[in-house]
Amino acid sequence: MDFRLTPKQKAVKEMSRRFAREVIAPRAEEFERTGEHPYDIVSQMADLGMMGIPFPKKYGGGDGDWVSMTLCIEELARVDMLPAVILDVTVTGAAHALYLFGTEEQKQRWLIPLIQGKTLGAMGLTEPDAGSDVSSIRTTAVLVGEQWRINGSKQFITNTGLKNNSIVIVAAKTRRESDGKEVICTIIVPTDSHGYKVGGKYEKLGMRATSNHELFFDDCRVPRDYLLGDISKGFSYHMSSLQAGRIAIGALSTGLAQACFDEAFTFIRKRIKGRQSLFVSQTIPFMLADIAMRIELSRNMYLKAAWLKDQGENHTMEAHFAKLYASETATRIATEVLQIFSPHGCLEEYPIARFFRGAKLNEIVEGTSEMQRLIIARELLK
Amino acid sequence: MDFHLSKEQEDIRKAAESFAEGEFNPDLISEWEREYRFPTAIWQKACELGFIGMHIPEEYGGQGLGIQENALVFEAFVARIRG
Repeated sequence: MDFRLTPKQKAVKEMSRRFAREVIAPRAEEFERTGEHPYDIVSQMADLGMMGIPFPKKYGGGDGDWVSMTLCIEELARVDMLPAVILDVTVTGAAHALYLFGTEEQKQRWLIPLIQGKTLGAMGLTEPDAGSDVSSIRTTAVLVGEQWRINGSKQFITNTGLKNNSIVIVAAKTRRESDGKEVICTIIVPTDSHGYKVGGKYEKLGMRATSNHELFFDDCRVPRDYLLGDISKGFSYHMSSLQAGRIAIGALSTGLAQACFDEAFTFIRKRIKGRQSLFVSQTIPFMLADIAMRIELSRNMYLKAAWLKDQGENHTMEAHFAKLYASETATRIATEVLQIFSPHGCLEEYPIARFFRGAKLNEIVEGTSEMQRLIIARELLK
Repeated sequence: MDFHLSKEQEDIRKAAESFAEGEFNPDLISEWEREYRFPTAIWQKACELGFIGMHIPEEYGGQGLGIQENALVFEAFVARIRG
């Protein structure tokens, strides 16, 4: 057993931390206020190779691993969740699926620009009538000659409606040619496809600058060979992306929780030094001790899941544990830290309000907490 | 980074588990509990087999291993307290 990071993993962590502090931190409040996508920040992240950390050099990647990828996500989220989410969705939602299941041609065409950061990817799974219950999706794909015709809609899809969003990896129901059976397939839909439309932007509780939209497929046409992998395995491809996404949400939540701790620690240290309140000096340190302990546990959990993924070993339970524990823990910590800040925490002057609003998101995306529990319980009963 | 136990650690864990499985039984455990009795014989046996003092240097009669090995033995023993 060895809990230490390798020099390469440490270097990724330090590079990410420095970038987050020097480049993202001064702008974080602005993103939240304006809701604008940070094109310039994303392009700098790409220059640093963040989009390609776990992918091979031959596709423009960094030949690194998922431990490094998730360390990077944690460090970004430690300053602001926005860049971490953009990175997570591109890497786990789009690039990961293309890398694992795409043909060489598909990789050359779409994976490389994603890894180089020239484009951003999205994953289109959720629909108005299908959230946690993925098998209820209504979007259909029918092969007419050499083209897929896609009809239906998706909602809440992250990284869409941006000028650099190249593709959406879309889940759709189709009939298998061989036996006419209904299956879920996965199709790569370029955003300039005929019949692809992006709906209006949502006004959200938090994470206001992530670019989420409703998507409409109105007889959307894409060539036959844009199908990803096996026609019958679309469901499992999306599940595979979600599994990687869960580890990333574990890392993201850990970063957010650490951000809350950092803010609380600085705030409290000042108050204790000034002896402003005996109450603060006697009770808050216990809260901080518990918070620090829970963050450590969240971090160990996502790192273990990422490490198992790197070893090519089964990590279903570990990914669910990390996602469920770290996200709920981060929300709890954000709530506690807001309490520590008391009225100050309600002011936009401190980042706590932004962290608090964003925290809840992680309990919902990549499968709600309820879905995590359901799947963990099913695994236990196997 | 490596989250796996080493081969030696796995062996220690398995040995501790089978020791606990063979020695602890519900009647015996409730007897210790009821009569406030320290399980001297089993303790002695555990000492002889090297389960006690995993992390103590060999020159003092321990196994000269680490806290991890010691913790694995503790966990394996306690996991069998229902006998």
